[in-house]
Amino acid sequence: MPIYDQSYRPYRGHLSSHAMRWWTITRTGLMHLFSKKIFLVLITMTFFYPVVAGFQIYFVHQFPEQNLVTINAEFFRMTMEIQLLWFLVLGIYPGTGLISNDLRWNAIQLYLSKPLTKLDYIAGKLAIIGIFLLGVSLVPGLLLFGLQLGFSSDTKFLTSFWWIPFSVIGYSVSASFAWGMIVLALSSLSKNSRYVGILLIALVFASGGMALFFWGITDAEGVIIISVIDELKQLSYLFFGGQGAFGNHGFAAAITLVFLMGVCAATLRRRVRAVEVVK
Amino acid sequence: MVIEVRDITIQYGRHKALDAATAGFAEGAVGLLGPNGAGKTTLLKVLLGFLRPDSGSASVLGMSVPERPLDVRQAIGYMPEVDCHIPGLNAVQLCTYAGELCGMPRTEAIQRAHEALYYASLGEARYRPVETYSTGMKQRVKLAQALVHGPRIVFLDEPTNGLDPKGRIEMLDLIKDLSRRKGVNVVLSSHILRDVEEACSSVVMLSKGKVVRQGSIAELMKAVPDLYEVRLKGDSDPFTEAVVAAGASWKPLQDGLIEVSLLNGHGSEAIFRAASVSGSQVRHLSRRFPSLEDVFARAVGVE
Amino acid sequence: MTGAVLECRGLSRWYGQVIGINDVNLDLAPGVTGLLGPNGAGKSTLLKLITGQIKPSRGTVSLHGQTVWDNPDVMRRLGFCPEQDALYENLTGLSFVASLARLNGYSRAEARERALKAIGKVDLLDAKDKKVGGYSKGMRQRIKLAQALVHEPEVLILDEPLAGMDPLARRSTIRLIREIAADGGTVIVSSHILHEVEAMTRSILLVHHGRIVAEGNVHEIRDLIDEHPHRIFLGTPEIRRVAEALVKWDDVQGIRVDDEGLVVETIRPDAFYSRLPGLVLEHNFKVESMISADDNLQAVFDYLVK
Repeated sequence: MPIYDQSYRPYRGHLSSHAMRWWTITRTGLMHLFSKKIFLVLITMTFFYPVVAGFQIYFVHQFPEQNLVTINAEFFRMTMEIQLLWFLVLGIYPGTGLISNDLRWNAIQLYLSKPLTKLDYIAGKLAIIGIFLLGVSLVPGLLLFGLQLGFSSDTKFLTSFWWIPFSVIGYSVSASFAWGMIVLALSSLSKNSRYVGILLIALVFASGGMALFFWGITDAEGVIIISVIDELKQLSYLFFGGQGAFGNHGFAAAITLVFLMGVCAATLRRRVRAVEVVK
Repeated sequence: MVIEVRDITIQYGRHKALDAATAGFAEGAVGLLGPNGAGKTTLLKVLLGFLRPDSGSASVLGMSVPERPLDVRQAIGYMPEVDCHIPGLNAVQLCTYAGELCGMPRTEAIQRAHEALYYASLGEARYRPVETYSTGMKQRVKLAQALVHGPRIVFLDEPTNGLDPKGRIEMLDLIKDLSRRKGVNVVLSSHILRDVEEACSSVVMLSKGKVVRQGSIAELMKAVPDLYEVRLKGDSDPFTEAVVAAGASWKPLQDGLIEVSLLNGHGSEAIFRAASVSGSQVRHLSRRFPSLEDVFARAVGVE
Repeated sequence: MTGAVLECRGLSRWYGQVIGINDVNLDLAPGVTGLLGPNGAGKSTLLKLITGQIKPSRGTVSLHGQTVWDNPDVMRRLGFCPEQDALYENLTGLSFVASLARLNGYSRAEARERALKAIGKVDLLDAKDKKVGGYSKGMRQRIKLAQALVHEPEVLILDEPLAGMDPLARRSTIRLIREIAADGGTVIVSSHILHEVEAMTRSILLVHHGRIVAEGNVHEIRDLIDEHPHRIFLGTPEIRRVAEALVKWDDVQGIRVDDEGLVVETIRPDAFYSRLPGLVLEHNFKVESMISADDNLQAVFDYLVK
């Protein structure tokens, strides 16, 4: 046929398997974020403390007689705890917009009308924030451990603290997953990402305030796990040992977080839907 | 039938959104009609797998919807009525994304996105963010993203909303092209019955959750024999008097039309004769076909 | 001009460099007038000027001689049903219409009574105590219409009044609009759905590029469009015989053969229509239908808006 029909034709090409469908959502989300300058600035800032910690390790090895700081499990745990600040910041941006923007612009209908399950959608969105949370916890943790190893002249450090990388991985994965779920669930509660931001800050401070209040009344350290941020802090004691101002309630914190995950999962299942039920 | 629903019921408290609805959607373009609240949107959502019916079965292209929702959605394209887009993307990115979400590799998705956007007549604007688009452009993007993965059926919900007269004609032409020449089945949900008459070959009519009429438009709108509709220029009294004098009868319709009921055996020449005798100018003459609106009103039980 | 309710003289409005409305002169008579034009033609700007929402850059808009802009007395006599869908979701239908009625200065009781009347006109009485947030699209549109009617305005300005309505509601709303006009009211309806405008009125205003391109009766306008001869479809099984007879007429400029008949082009439709019955009877032709292919709004629109 000399004249070709340039208009619509059916698609006879290849279709990928369903397993990696969530990755498409993650990848698009990441690409979109990386195109924003403010985000790149933010990411750069998250390396601030790890770089400082790196220099601490360097100085300890350069000037051992100064006894500047001890590189032990607590050092790594402390790094994880300090980076929790970025958990909060990343939770607000890009966290709050993850699902709320889609709700606002009716995009959920578009997603769910494709061959995607709700789980694909949620997993894809979780991975967006999850990757960054891991980036501020897992990556610096392992890099610092590697740095310490690199500077060590003997195997003393390795024999005592060989388990630290596993703890770093274990902690960062669980904390990232937990916090990611919380942020995602909150993001699904409103069409307005600003309200979600307020909700998130309110949750952190209100739970913190309540925990201190109950501690004042009961004088029992354990109540600190009412505070969400403290749950994450206490979780670090579970993986790294030691204890903080309120003792070591890592296990209890872990159980609370698991329970909280259940609530988040249920919320997400309810809120991510293509139909709006109007009473 | 490309889509079949049998005894679908969905109940919210005491209100039945769908009440044992049974219908078959034929090949080509099918109009889905019904008053507000009749269950049209609910039915679409059942077919898309967004809602689970309390009872009954639904199958699309032979696949059962509750059992194989992903396969069904692979074969369907959906153009929602409401404004919807993925924030931060332009038309090309959105359509590419839509294709990738259906499993297309990225390079293929980009190509198909451009093709679909050309087909939907969205030109250079495709490189601007969708937030900046006019209503008409947003409609075109919604259509393009539904077509990217080459579905065998597309569900179009009020596709001509907000389009100016030229845009409406383009959209209807596109629907006709898809269903008549490109082998894509179309389910057109619309309140503008003229659009449905123009673009569809059959209809499914819902009312109060039940299917009240279905079938080919030609069947439903058969011309009534010996009944003609006439429009005249100027005063119609001389004409109507001549009609009566010839032994036929007439009655006024809306829009200045006159319905003339001829005697057996007489054809349209009786009308020309009446016009000639009375010196009237006939400007419009045709057999009386019920409009889809008449069929609709009768089916829904309203006069 | 006598009979004109709303007058625009030299009306222009620009936004920086962008011209919205360019030197418009028009006289709106009682009855229904259809306002048409492609997207971006200036229709919404014109409506905003007429309803006093924006100030003209040049020229005037006046109701019975009084300017509309910044004049609450005049604006009180206008009723506007906008295209945008922004309602107070938490109010019931009745309170929504009644509160807007009170903006006209009515007492609480009178506003309520008028609101009930207006809601009755749009057939929403059974939903008046439900929250607007729960209304379907068609119901939202009707409640918007009710608030435009509640103060019995002299001029009713409707922007896409049928949007979202189902076919039955469309029919009854068209009927309502015609009734209002029959009772002496003045209505402007802006719509893209040409066959529905045709069902309401023959009187149109066509806007393009910020200017009025045509104004008046659609058939008269069609007759004035010389470059496009009238096309008339004749449904007949005896295509060639009829064609042979017709081609002898000097007003016939072209004949095209179709599946079911032929399409004749004539530059003098009046003459053509007058002579046709005689021809049909003389030759005993079987002509089943005669349909004007382009003596309608769509064609006028297409020909004037390139």
